[in-house]
Amino acid sequence: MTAMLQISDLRTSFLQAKEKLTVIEGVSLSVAPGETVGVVGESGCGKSVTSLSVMQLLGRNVQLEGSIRFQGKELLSLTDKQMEAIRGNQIAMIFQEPMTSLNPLHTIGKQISEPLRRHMGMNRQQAKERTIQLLKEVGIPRAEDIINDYPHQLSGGMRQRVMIAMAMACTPKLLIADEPTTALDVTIQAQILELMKKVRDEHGTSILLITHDLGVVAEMCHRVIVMYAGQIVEEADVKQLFDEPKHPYTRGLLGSMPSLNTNQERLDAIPGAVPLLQEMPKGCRFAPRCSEAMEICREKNPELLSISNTQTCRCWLYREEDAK
Amino acid sequence: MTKPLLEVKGLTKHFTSKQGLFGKEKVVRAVDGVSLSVYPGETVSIVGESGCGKSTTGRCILRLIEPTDGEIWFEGENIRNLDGAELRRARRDMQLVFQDPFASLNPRKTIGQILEDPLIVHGIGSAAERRKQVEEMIGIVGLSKQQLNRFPHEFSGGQRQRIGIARALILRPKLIIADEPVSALDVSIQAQILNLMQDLQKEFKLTYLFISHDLSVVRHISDRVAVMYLGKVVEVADKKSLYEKPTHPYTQALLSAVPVPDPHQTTQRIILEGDMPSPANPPAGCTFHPRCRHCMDICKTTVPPLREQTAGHWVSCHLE
Repeated sequence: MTAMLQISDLRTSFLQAKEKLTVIEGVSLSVAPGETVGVVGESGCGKSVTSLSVMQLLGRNVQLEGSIRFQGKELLSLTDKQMEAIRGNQIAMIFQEPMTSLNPLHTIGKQISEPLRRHMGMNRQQAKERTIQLLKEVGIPRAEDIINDYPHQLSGGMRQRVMIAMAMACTPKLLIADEPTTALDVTIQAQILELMKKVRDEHGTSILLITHDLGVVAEMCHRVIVMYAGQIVEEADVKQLFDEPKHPYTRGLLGSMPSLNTNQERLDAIPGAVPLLQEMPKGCRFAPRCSEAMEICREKNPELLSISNTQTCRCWLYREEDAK
Repeated sequence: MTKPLLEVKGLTKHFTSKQGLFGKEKVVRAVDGVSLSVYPGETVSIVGESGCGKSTTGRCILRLIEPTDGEIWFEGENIRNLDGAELRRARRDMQLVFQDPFASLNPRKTIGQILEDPLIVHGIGSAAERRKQVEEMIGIVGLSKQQLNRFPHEFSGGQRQRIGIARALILRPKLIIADEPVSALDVSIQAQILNLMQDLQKEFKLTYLFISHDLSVVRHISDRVAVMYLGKVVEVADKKSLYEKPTHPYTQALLSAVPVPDPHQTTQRIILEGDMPSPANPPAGCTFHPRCRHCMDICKTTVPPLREQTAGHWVSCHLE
């Protein structure tokens, strides 16, 4: 079975005046048909850049190396025109901030019907009918009236529903959701997560879910990738990740979270902060904050190592023979 | 029984806006009769979603926003009757930590100046003494003296929040009102700041009024919790009682909506329909009734009073 999305050894660099800043260092991941893969990490770990690299939405001053295959087809060698035919059609994206990602000057109806007319060749009337149907599917009341409204007339939750309707317009095979519920209140987040699950189950859509919220991951994902400072540090099945986190960073993340169900005296905070791009440590990028750092950690960055069939981890702790 | 450090009675803030020159005046009931007591040494949290009035409540208590009505008793004095110098003196004992560590520090001042400002405003010490206090305080929040000459942009979000806390703490206040102090931070940094706040509370015998939308954070930090919806407190209880036996249907829905970081657990979720109504046009009766699963006829007409259901557990709901 070919993977829906196969990213191999992706390196994304931003070209500035004289410098080349590599933000993503050798990320490899795959998403199977119907699977939901979560990418978690904190600000600046490169999770959003990974998703934008897949969509090739990073603009001109960016260098993408490696390979991104969608249903076996290499995306990085496509022309802009060819990429446009895929974007919004077979691969769709939901952005974090529904206020800034909807065009304030166009009505909701116009924005949703655009991909329908462009990719599906529908005429105005067909597109309008389909738009109303889509809005009803995502649970928007009075869909017939809403299509004439502008984004500012809707609440945050409603706007995110519109984003989902737009993303689902051409029934994409792969949906990339970049922090889809981060800007929303919890009760609205619950509505949107329910909706995403419903859409996924009805259409068998693969989802690449970018988030910083481990609660959302536990709820939505089959598999999880943990990123730190532009690299994958751990990949595991969702249950494994929560039951037996291997990487000290993953354990730190889980320990940092206050729990809703139990009382803790103190949180296990990770000391320090994420290193700046220009000041990446020579060895393991997490070593300066790691409580278990050894000598080798400061010297050499470990490779991603397979712990079991379904779990990999980038840490010297699991490679003692090499460490010596 | 000890007397509360802060007691708020019927606090109300109505914002009025006029649409057009001859338009009708619109009243936004941001805070609508909030009563709350905070005892010395405890942490009371106000939790709720965007627009519920939690931040406005915090600011009204310090009179950064002038309340429309109500009483604010702080150490036996009604803050609402104070003016000018008296108000400034009272505020020395009640300080605020803001949400956004990027917007709440003056970018043109060094950290040293930012921390010294409150001391100057309140006329404390000589220049040398102030400098000493600033140096001591920066160490207490986990930064170093060498960093005092730097500007806010040279610091990360977590470090800036430490500076914000140091600024609030430098006057040695009794009460700190923290308005979403960790929401802009990543989870690993958030944990550092929460730990710091707990340490400082013990060290300086602080009382916190903690305002947050994050129910997990609130559970971690609080002794008692007040849940707000549309400008009103709908439930107040000690932490254990609120999280284990949430009584108001809104609190129940709110708690069930939080995604639990445990893939083995399948939550029975109460999904609320629709959005929170606008505080400019709140529903009659119980303001939660249009979204409530248990809505009865009485809920549509009569505002339920805040009643003590079990000891210390207050709920505003018609359900028995």
